[in-house]
Amino acid sequence: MKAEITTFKNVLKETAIYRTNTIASFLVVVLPMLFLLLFWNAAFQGRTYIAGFTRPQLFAYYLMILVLQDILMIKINYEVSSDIRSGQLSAYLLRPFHYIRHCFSVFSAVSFNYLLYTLLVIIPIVVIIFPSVFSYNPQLFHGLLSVALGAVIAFLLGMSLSCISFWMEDISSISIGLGLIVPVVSGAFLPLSFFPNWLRSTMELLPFWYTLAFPAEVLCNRLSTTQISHGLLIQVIWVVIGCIVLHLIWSRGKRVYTSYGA
Amino acid sequence: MSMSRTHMQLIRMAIASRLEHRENIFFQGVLQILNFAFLILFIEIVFSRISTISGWNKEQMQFLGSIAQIISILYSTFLAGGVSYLQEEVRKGTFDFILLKPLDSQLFVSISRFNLVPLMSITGPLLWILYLIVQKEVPIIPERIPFALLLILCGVLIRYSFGLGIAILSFVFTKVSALQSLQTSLFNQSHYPSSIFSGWIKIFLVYVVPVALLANAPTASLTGWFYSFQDAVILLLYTTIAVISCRYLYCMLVAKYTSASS
Repeated sequence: MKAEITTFKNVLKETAIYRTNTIASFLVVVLPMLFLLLFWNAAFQGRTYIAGFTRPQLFAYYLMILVLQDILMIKINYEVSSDIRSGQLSAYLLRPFHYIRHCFSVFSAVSFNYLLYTLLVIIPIVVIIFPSVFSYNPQLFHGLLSVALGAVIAFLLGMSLSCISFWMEDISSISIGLGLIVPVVSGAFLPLSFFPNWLRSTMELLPFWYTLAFPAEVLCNRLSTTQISHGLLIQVIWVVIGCIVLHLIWSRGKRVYTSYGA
Repeated sequence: MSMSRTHMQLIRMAIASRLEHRENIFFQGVLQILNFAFLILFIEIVFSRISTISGWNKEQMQFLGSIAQIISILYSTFLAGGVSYLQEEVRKGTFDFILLKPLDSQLFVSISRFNLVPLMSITGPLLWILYLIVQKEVPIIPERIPFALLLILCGVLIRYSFGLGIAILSFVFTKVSALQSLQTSLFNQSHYPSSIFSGWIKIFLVYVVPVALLANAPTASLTGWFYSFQDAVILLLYTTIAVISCRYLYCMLVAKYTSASS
């Protein structure tokens, strides 16, 4: 555990060195969202509700997505893929800690850092421009729990996909594909209630919605207690499935992994 | 070998090198068509709930989205590769070899990295425009087609000027990749109607970074919706200034360029 905590601290220090780059990377995520908010602002002219959302509710949803999306979106971990392809993984396998636990420490530190920067930007925006967007939420604890579970699912499935590098030389196309599909199916573009029923029921079967949109909706106080309990249970199931899938891929991948000269 | 033959040879080589990975080209082409399909899906879902946004209906929004996509594809096909190539060569310190060639170095880097992958996906927005014209009876003004094409070219050149302008900053600064992603992210928002912007945001998006004009001006010119001759003139003037400034900045910074090997 000491090794994981040290990794966490080191990554925090490392990201603090490239502050400008971190801020610019954050703005890359913020800009599309700001345009989306302007679009919805225009859409609400002369309307009170769209798909059951009022303007403050929809803005709260998108701001929450903005805060959470970099942590909770399932994506390829390029470091892992590169370690496998370059043979650098051998050096990690010889060290007295588990590689996946090490990756989780790095993921936690990067996520923590991102959350910190995001909140530093979002809180003033909310206080100055949208003071009516957020109010007291009695489901805050459940919301934070769903964020934690969503992060674990995103990590486990992202790692499993990154481990495809054991068998494939180039997984950039998979990464681009995920970058296109995941924001749509995880509710980053539109809340689930906007989608037609048949598409909504399909999306509810997949893990993506439970990683991002579900925690965002809980934190925005849009779900009933029954819906939250049901969602949390499904998140736990996805965590278990993610653990099994990652364990299987990792153990089989290690068997086919070869490197030389390291 | 004459200069024009040398340039043609360079273009042929760039295309041939890209064609080496045909499966990857096919897969990436499919992904880009998917990207456009998601934009159309987004508009379909939003407009299933509301009829207009700032005076724009579904067909108009889809037409605008298609024009924005065409500009983006043309830039990605012909010029974006050269922009990232320049950045990479400066970072590695191998830009010297380009300067030693008996060709204009800006022209060389700009045309030597053709990427045919995005060009394949241009069929998506082109077919959709055709569908809107034939099936949805969206009116276009035939005599304005050449002018609209000129404005589309302006959009591509503005994207190139910004891209190259930031890439050549790598002569001075170590890390400009995040800034490059930032400008890409900003210009990727050109599919929004300009009428959703107001106040200082509109001034910024017309005169400083003309995101609000890039696709809106050609669309307005071609269809007559929200047509403003003033906007078209601004886009033409902006393009002229941007291309000249970019060339001037390039010559100025190349003169100051030093690398570890020089």
